[in-house]
Amino acid sequence: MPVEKQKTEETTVAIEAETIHPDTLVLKIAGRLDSETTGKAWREATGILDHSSPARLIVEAAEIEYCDGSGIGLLLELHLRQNKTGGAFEIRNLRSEFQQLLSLFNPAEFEKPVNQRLEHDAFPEEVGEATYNYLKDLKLLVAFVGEIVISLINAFLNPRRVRWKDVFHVLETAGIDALPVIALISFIMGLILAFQSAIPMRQFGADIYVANLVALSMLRELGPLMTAIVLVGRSGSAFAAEIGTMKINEEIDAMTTMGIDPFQFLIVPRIVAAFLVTPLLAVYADLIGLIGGSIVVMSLGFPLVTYIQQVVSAVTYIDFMGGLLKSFVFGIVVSAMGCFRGMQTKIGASAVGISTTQAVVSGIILIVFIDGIFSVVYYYLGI
Amino acid sequence: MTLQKEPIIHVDKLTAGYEESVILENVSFDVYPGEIFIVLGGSGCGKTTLLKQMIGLLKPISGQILIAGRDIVNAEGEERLKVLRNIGVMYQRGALFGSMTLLENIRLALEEFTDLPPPAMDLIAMIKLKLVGLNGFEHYMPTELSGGMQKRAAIARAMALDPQILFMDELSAGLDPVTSVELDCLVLNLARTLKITFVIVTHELPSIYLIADRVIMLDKGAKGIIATGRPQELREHSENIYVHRFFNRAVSSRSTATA
Repeated sequence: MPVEKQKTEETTVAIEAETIHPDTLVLKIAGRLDSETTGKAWREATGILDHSSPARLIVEAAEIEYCDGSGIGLLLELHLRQNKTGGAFEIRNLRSEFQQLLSLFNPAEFEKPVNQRLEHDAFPEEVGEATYNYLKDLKLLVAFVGEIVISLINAFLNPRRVRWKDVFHVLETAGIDALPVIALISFIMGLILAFQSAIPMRQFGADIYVANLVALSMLRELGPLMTAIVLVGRSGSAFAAEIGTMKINEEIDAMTTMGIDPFQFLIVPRIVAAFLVTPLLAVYADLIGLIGGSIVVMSLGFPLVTYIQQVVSAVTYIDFMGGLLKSFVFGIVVSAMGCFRGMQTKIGASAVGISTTQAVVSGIILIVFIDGIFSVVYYYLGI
Repeated sequence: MTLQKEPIIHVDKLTAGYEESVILENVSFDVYPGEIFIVLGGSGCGKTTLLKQMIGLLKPISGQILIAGRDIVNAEGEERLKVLRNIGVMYQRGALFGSMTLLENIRLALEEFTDLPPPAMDLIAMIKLKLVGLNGFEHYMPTELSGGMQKRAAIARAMALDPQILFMDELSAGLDPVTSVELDCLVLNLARTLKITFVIVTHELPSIYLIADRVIMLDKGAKGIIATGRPQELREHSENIYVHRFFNRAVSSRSTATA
């Protein structure tokens, strides 16, 4: 085929420099100037100019057989270089079609260096901006919490208006599907706790108190906390990604213009589901953690019944309920944070990624923070 | 325009579809260098499928597609890259990379496939942006641009390596008439100055009359081409009732009754 032949036969370009007058340089360019060949030609031509910087440059272009955008780029570059050094520039015998193409570009428009927009601001400016953004974020969060409270109250007053189908779907994806990973983590957690404490406790002859340690720390602290962290990673991020993608696809806007409240439609079912499922998952985590601890205690030579008795005597209902109360709060925080970040998603492919990351990070920070508050409150209440 | 005898795109007995549904059956046509070739047809008739076959995104069930003499269907590795270097594609919604500025979007292909020095890449990318009238927007992110500007930027990116053929999916869909005409003029200009061959999927009649050298019309029922020719000829002489209606913007009695 002629088209292919053309491509393969003429993929070279030759450049010849000739000084015809002490201050006039003639650059003869011959062949095909396209994106494949221009790279070499560019280096040669600019190399020659760097050496000689003539007062007058003539490009003899009669033998340029083909010249596309890259070739035009080269001719422009030569022109620009001459402009910079104050030299004259002339192109001779360029074919009319290429001349026509070249005439579309005024070298003056390309003289400015490519200015990078990503300039660094001064340090105080950055600190100020970060603080401002942080406060703005906080304000939005407060408004969001307000809207959630209103929506939840509405949902409570009109339970029929809650989309229970969605609630059950989230219960399944965030709850039932999370059982294996929560089992794994809690079991290993119980095992590690028991194993690590068994060694020093044995030195005091207090091996059996390993059961107390595992039971108290799992029920009061680790069960709810690990559940919440798994939930942030699995479901908080998923909420942010789902809602964020809907935002990008303008689905949220469509919903709003149809008169459907996105809070009622998207956020309430997720929060209700998380509120219901997190405590259940926490109880499950407690139980599996205790089983993990029992393995170590039994391997120390105690029968299972002793372990169970020790656990029952060590923890009270209040310990158990205290942990449970925490997980209700964690459930709300995790799901609300996921939804909040999802709703905040901006435009672009990376926006969803940013939202999910933020959902996980702020979720974890809030969980730890709230856990701290609970500890202080429980301490003063004597729990 | 004088058409060369050898086609730049040769589609021969192409049968294409998804899973069990065949959408195009035994479709054959040629596109000649320098031509502005338009693919028409109603929704679901296989325009986008045909386009995806021609740019190598989908494999046909049977048949052959040659791009500048090279088989795109069975090409792999280096050979495939050679074919792909010859073509540029503008997607319906631009498909610009959202994490990169316009300049970086265009530079990407130059960085991957040429040995140009970095300042040369910048200059060439700026030239492409100037060609589509977006000079001054080098450092904008795609999301900061309007729909029409994104399309123009997508054309600039498709032209990064100065391909011989530009494929365009829905050139002027969703654009205002002024922007749409501007894009048409841009296409004419590029075809004239750079001798690029265009394969364009569009519905816009004004744009078809303005730019098309030749059109083919696909039909869902026929699973193939129901008309080929210059748009003016088809408007005046087509015997197919659907083609006639399309080019004359006529409404059939059936559709007025159901409307």
